[in-house]
Amino acid sequence: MDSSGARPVWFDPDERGQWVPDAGDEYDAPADVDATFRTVRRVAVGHFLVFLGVVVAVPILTLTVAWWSDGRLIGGMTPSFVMAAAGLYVFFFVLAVAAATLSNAVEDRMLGDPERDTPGQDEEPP
Amino acid sequence: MRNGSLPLAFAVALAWGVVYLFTQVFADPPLGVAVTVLIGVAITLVLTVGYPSALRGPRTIRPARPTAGRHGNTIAAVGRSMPLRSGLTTEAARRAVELLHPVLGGDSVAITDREKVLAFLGPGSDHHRVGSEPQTEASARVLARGRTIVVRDRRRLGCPNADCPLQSAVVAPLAIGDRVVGTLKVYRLDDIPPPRGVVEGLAGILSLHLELAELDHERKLAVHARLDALRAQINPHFLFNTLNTIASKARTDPEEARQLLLRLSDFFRYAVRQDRHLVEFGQEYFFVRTYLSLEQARYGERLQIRYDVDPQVLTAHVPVLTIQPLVENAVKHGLADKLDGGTVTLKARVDPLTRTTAIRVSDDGVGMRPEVLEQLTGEHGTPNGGIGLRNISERLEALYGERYRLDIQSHYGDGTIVDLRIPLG
Repeated sequence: MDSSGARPVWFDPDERGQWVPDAGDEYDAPADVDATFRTVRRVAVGHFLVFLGVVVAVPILTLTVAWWSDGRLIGGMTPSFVMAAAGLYVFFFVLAVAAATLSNAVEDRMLGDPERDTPGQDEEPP
Repeated sequence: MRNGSLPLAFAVALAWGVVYLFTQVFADPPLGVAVTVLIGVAITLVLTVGYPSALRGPRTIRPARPTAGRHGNTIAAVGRSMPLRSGLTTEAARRAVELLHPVLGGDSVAITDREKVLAFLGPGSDHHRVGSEPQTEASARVLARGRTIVVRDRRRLGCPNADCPLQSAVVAPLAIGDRVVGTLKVYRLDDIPPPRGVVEGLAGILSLHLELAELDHERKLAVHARLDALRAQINPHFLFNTLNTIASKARTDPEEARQLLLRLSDFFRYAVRQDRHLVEFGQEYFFVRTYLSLEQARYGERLQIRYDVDPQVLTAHVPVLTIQPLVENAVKHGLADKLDGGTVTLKARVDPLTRTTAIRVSDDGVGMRPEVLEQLTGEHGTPNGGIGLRNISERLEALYGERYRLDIQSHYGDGTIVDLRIPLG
């Protein structure tokens, strides 16, 4: 996987002067991609469960806790109203950012070749 | 140290259910929301904090920190505090003289190595400077003979400074085995020297600490040597086989041959570059992937691979060059002899509650006969069991002591499972 978007470094004279992608960048075997998919899926399922828990908690709180609908917070708003008006959206945003960040981190670590990001550093001195 | 997250989640859910029942259903009138939430949060906190501790088991009670200068158990306090446990350094010597000064019955205390004064506390420190050469002739005699000497007059002390207030001294050698590496010097301002027995006794304790420090150093060197041994042990047959595979692909599929060469270089680059003992799991995972891709080029469809990796485990630290030898064993001893091949599975998990990283390498290959398994899991292992496994076990022991587990389960004809559990770092 080449997520860096850097210019390919390999020049093939048979291609009549055209740049061709460095085949060395195509590093991942099918098993690697499968593994990454499973791990990212685990991230997605975990975050979805959190999402589901919070979303389902709102009507449950409405049904079970009287204060949730009758109590007053800042500006005379009920906790239920605050949650529906702002709280849920903030929560969705935070959850989405967390899931995306973790998924990207997983892909970075599980795919590609981290060693080849620093070329030439193991060359022997002349 | 099984995964404890699910039982905890169940316990927390149950606790909130019970809290709800007792505060909202059974109580008449029901308790307020704030009180209910407070009770629920308190119980959740107790469960969440206490549960991992319960899983880890009782902790050893640490002895109380000794107080320097308190008489009565001062010798024992010095023994426990181990000021020179990290070796004969300036900082360790300074801490040692600060600790010893009140208990040695002298006015000044100094510690030197063979070349210089490492610490000096008390009158005379204006010219017996830290970093300078030991000035008294007494020090030179002790370093040469390795025996304690008692000096009763200023002339025999041999300090070249005419204004030196020090009159008498006991100078005891600090030795590692038979080798004198320094001195412990206790001076007095009058001609009655400090008690020789106390000085000799404490010099003996300090010598013991120095010996332990050297043992520690040797142990670290041994761990380095084991890592070097494992690096050097990369099977030459693996190299020959991979090169043969590349040679055979060079004509039919030059691009794949090129890929394999790149991976082979990655494999050796990683193995050679590692000079740390712990690396991120992600790096070891890359090494394992590289290795298995090379083996897969050789075995083709006979070798199937399945990775099952927790997202949290990718940043956990694991001992370097630990997982690949386990995977290599699975390929070499588990699947190579099986005609229709099989699957190697690498599973990695983190249990945040027990602060454990669990790594499992399994295969559905030929397995091991009970007697071979017995030899491998026996107290002394076996030379035939592979240097790799023994090397891993020794390195884990050096890194974690008793806090790791390496379990092997195998049934002949039914594959092998190697479980490794290490503290989360």
